[in-house]
Amino acid sequence: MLGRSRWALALVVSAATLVAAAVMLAVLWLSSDRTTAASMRLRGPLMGLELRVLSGNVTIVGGSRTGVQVTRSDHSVFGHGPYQRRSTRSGIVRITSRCPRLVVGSCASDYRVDVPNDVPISIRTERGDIRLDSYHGSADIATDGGAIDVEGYCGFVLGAASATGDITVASACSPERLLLRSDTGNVSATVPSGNYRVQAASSARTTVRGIVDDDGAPWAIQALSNTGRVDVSGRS
Amino acid sequence: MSALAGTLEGRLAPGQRLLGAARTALFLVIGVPLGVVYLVAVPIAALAGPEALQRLLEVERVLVNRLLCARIPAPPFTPDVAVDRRQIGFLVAKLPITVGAAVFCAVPAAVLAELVARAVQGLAGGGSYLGPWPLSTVVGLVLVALAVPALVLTVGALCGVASLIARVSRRGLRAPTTASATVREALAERLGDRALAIAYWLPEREEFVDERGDPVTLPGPGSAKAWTAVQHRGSRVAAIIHDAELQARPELVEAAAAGAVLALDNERLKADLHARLQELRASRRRIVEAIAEGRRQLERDLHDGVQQRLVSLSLDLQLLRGRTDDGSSLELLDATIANLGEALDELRDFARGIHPPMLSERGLHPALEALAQRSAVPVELELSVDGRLPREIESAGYFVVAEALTNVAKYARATHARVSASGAGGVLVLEIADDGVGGADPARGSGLRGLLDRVAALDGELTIDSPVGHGTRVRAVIPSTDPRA
Repeated sequence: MLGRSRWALALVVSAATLVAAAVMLAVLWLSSDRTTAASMRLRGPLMGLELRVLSGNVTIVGGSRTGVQVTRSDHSVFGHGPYQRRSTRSGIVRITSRCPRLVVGSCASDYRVDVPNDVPISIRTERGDIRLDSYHGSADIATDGGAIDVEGYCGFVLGAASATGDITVASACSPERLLLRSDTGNVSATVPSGNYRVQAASSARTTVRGIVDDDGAPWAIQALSNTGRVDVSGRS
Repeated sequence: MSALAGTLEGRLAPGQRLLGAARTALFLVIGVPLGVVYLVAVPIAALAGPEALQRLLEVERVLVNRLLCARIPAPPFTPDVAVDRRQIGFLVAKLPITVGAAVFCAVPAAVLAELVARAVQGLAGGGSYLGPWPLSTVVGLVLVALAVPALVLTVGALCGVASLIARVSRRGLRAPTTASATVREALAERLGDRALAIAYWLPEREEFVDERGDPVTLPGPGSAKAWTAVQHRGSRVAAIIHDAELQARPELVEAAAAGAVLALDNERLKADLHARLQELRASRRRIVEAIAEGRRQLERDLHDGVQQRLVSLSLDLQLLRGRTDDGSSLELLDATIANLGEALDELRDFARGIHPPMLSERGLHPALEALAQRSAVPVELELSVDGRLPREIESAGYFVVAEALTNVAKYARATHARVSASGAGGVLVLEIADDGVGGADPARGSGLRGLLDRVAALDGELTIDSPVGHGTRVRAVIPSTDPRA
């Protein structure tokens, strides 16, 4: 039998034990929190770039005249940071960044890649945003938990998919195919006005304006979202 | 159920605490959807009538009693179901209360769940990292050790919440007290004995009394009635006097008594208070009676003793005067006889002031008539007091009129007074009014103040209305039946 005072003592001791454990973990966390930066330049002929990032944001900047420049910023706690693997096959560079599974704290690797135009890119992240800035070429990008933002794009095929984030694309020229899909996020595409084969659908609001839906048009736009809003507009 | 009751009291084995925590968790899980149902159903039930609301309250009462062991008694069975705003408010507040309690308990519960999950992962050789350490068997064992205090906190939070909700529920679900829902009626209805009575035990007086404080004699063996003692924390509280047939099912009476023991204890305290008040009233009445009796005795002593001797002395002087021829002696005797006559008149007046013999001998009506005749101010009488009243009532009534008429003569500067007396309906009502200057203040004179006390001692009421310039009206209302009768 536990008396009232012994029970109260048990509660106090239990709370103190857990708080002590939490404080110890927090102190270790704060003291081990690190951010490091690294940069590398890829030389030689480049047929394509594949980037696989478990956790972290990716920014692609097009128009590089000096080859591919990769800048990485790694965030680690408790001495557990991301690890990168790079391989090249048939002129296609494949960079993979992974993190160990941490119960407490986070590990991430943010990438900025400067690429020449017309180098096809393929990017996948599990957790992180993807941004394309002034990129000219074909791109296939997808993220499970982040937003996709494309600005000043010009190329043949742009495929962008996000599970939960918004997709925003502003195209400087009419792409041959624009494939934008989000499960719960909003999808917004701004393209030069003209005739397009448009497929825009959503269970929420869908708006198409400033362009002409024409089945015989050479350019196609597919903008789909399950629960988010879809907005396709033409820019004169 | 008693295990959970113990949990609320805070003296339990760990297993029983776990059981109590599990019941509380179940209560919270059920409580959230039920709270939503109440939010929807209460307005509808309020439109449908108190019976519908009573059903919702009963659902909640049963749930709280079963899972949190709140021990809330069932509402009394009364023909007129009453549900007050407090109970309705409690039903509406069920959802936020339950959600708040669930959130409070969810914090330690979430910590516990996380620790257990990681411990299992570590023991299984998980491959993750906890802080700087890989989740290995050793770390898994450490997490198991940490899960124990998390479990203690979770159980503590659930038990604390159970205690709090039980307390709030007792207040929120308690049936409203109405005049028709007395403890006696509730027990009578529950036991199916309309003639059921309750006797409350007064330990200081060592006797049973009813709710008014009057002594009660418990039925003896062989009677058609029987009684069951009700005890609370080892002390006798009351006795339920019920049909003797109920003795065949003592568990029924005991269960009903156990459910009402707190209410019975409260009623016992009220009965005790009533008994004390009755005792106080009786004591005041006895004092008034004793004073009146003392005055009567004094008046008789004066009448039979000093007064008779003075009368006899006056007669002797008259005889002596008849036998004397001396002129100077005759003058002296005449003066002495006159003085003696005046002394006798003064003595009679004094004796009458103590207690008028006419009041004792013939009652209030003739005594008031005589009083009016002697008044210095013309008095109009309107009397409807037939027969005799209790002596202390007659005495109090007489002296109210006497004091009022004395004041009229002394201070009112009135030309006329009116006295009315009515003895109908078990109440003696006296009213003395004059057309004088008014402005009488009971606080300034001992006469009126004494009358106020005297009338109050007989459970009566004396009011004095005396606006300046508009005369004075004294009204006394005295119950003329003995409250003990």
